[in-house]
Amino acid sequence: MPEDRVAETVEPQPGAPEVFFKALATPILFALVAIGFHYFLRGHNAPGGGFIAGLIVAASALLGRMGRDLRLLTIRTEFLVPWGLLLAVATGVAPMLFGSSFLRSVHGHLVLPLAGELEWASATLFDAGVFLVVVGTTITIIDLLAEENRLQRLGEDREEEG
Amino acid sequence: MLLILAIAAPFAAALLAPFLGRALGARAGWVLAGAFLPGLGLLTIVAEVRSAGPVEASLPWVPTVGLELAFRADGFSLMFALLVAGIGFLILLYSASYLGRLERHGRFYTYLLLFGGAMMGLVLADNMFILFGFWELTSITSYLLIGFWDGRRASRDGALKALVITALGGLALLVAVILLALGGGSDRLSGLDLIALKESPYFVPAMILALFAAFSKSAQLPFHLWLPTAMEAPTPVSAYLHSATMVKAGVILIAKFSALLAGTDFATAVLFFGLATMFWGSYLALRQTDLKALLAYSTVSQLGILVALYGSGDAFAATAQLVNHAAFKATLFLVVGIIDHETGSRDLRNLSGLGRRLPLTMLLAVPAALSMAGLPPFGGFISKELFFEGMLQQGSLPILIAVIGSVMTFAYSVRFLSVFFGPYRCDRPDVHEAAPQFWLPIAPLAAAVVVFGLIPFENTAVGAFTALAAPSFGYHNEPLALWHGPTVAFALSVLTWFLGTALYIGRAPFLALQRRLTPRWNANTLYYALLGGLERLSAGVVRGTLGAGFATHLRLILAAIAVVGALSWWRFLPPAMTTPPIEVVVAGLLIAAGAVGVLAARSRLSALIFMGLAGFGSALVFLLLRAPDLALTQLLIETVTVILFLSVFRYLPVLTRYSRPRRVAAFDALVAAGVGMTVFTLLLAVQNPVRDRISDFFIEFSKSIGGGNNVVNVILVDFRGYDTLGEITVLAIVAVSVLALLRLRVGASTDGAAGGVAEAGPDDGADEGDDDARG
Repeated sequence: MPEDRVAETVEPQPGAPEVFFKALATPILFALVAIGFHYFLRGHNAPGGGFIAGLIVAASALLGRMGRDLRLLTIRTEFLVPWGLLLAVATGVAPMLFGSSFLRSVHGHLVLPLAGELEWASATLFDAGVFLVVVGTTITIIDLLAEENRLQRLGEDREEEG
Repeated sequence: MLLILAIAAPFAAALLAPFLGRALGARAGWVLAGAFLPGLGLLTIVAEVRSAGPVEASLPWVPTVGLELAFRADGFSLMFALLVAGIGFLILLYSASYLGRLERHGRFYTYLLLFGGAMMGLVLADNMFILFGFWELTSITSYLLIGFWDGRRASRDGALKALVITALGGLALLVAVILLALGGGSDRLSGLDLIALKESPYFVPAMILALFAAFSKSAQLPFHLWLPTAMEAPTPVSAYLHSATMVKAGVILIAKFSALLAGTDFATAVLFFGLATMFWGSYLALRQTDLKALLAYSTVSQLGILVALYGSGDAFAATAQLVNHAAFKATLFLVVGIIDHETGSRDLRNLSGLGRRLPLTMLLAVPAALSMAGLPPFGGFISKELFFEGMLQQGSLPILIAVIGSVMTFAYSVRFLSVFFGPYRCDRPDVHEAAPQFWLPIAPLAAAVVVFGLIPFENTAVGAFTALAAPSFGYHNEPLALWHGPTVAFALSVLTWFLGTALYIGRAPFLALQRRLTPRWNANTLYYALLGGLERLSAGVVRGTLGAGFATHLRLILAAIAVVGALSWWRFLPPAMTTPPIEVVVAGLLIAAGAVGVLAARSRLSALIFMGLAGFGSALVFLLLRAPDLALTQLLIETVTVILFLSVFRYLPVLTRYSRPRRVAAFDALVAAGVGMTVFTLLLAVQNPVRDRISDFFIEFSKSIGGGNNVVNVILVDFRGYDTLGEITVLAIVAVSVLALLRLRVGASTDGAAGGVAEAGPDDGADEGDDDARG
């Protein structure tokens, strides 16, 4: 199946993207990914978090798709979904191993030699799970839809009067 | 700790069973039987329980809601746990010989051990919710075991029938347990405040529901129908689940609640339900020709005796009968297993004189059958005498039913034994005695049948068993003796034997009479009528809705929302609205303009742009109300959704507008207005909450508990982490479904049912957007 997909992506799409768009897509894409990670990391204290960061990264993937037919990740994105879910569940289960309850969170301060004082929260790991699921789901769906370009245009709308 | 181990060991062994089953085949049973050794090890705490009272053990499970895996071995529970472990041990040994080489051994032993663990847990549970959990687990494992030979239609049907009826009872039990916990002030059986409970308004509904559960599980009238069809299960399962242990779960429940029942009208009701079941069960057992069916109806009848005795408060007689029945009925079932295995038939009409070919099997069967018939010197005689004595105190009608039922019991017991006597008749010529490892596991049970009768003194055998349960019910163990002297009960026993013999001899005319009296309607036909009706109803609902178009679905759903809104208006008027800031009103108008634009749009593209307008308008509202997180999420969702739509745009059909009749249009407008009002009301209701706002709590503790300043994010990943987990699970399910749909589409040829699949893509994209937008 992956081989199929690679073959398809080289197929020229009708209405090829504009040259500016094409030129700018890559730098913007990386900027967006960087912003996405920034929003993820600051999420606990300022607007951001796994959901938002996931959507930003997904939007950048969309951009890559449209601009350069570029795949953001070489891995199969659908696998991000179960791993993200697993990470979130594991964050929930981990406190149970220490005799605490499901999803009980801990947080504190960490002093690192160079970075200085860093605040951490176990909820960030949970958020990372959310991030992975959102990114995985969105990019998977986008990629799959892009694959659908062989699909014939449908003749009739199936809506009917009830 | 031994208690926990006794319950956990079968579960642990169930995990091993698939591997052992593959490696050792049927012989895995010899190894896996060891899982019941910790259960048998409970014998070591018998002395402690007798001298020092109940032994308790508990493991925390969900401490935040006070749910504990609490177990408590009082005398009665301990006695029954020993029965479960002991018979389970023998059943596993027996199964090793019973199962053929080609069976799915791993699966069989897994189910059987899961059941064993669940039954141990059910018997020993003190926390009522845990008891409910194990109760349901026994129903499910019973379903799996009855349907073990799933290639046979009768097996599947029997399994489903058992599950439907017992699970219905299980639901009733859940509600009963909740009511009991509310009324009794504790979720522990031992901690229930009986006086407060009896006075609470929950008492009557709780008792009705608990008895419903008990009757369905213990196959009392009118729920007896599932037990005979459950006999489609492999014979070890019938012996273990459907005669010795699981079907007694309902009896156990009645026994555990007997303190609550005592002195109420419920006690009388239970007595007569039990007696009716006893009568009807033995009446039906008499006309069976399949040995297993005969035993099944006999079990129904004996369960009736137990229910009647526990219901009437005669726990002493009931417990004696329970122990005896477990021994003789398990023996008889296993004997039928051997007969079936060796002769290939279970039909009474085709078998006789088997005693010559199966002498050892006959040796095991005779005491058990005579015990069932209530003949001395076996255990069944003693408990039958106790039963008569108990019923004599209840009045003339109970004793009359008891005697008639016992006469029929005597007759069918003799009929069962008739396969061993008379001229040799069997379809298979080369019948020979079963291998020792086949009949040896039955021997301890048959020995118990004899010992229970011959040594019927306190502190030995059946006396010891019943004495163990005595503190649970507050009775004093009377000495159990074979010879009580010439009492009324003994006279009735003698009468029973004479009438029973007469009935056996005159069985031909009686059978003809039974056949003529067969009613056209019985519990079974009612069950199938109900089931068929349910199937027709659901098929009708599916046919009526699945075929309908998207517009109809939407109309139905929205109309339901509108009705709910109208109801809430009728119940209470929403509080007054506060005047919103002017810029929010402007943003609101933007949203409204977008919505109206979508309706008016002539092409899909313009509709899409208008939809974006509404979306960005709501983002603006969030921003104006100082909710940057929500605004950000909404903006991103809008962006992604719009681009996604655009990317699949050219695959979508041309937007066609359908004209609708004026009537329908008016209805739609009404529904739309109703939904609008509902949402409006909802928002107003949120404005003036009934209770304190929880948001104050979130804002106050976001930093100290969640460790973050962004309250929205802390709510998402910490305070409401469980919700988020649920949401990302939904998201993952969406991803998997889209993946499956589109992958199948890509792989398949381009013709065929493309329409539905192609539409799923953008639809799901939009769904996902909705899911996210709540962030």
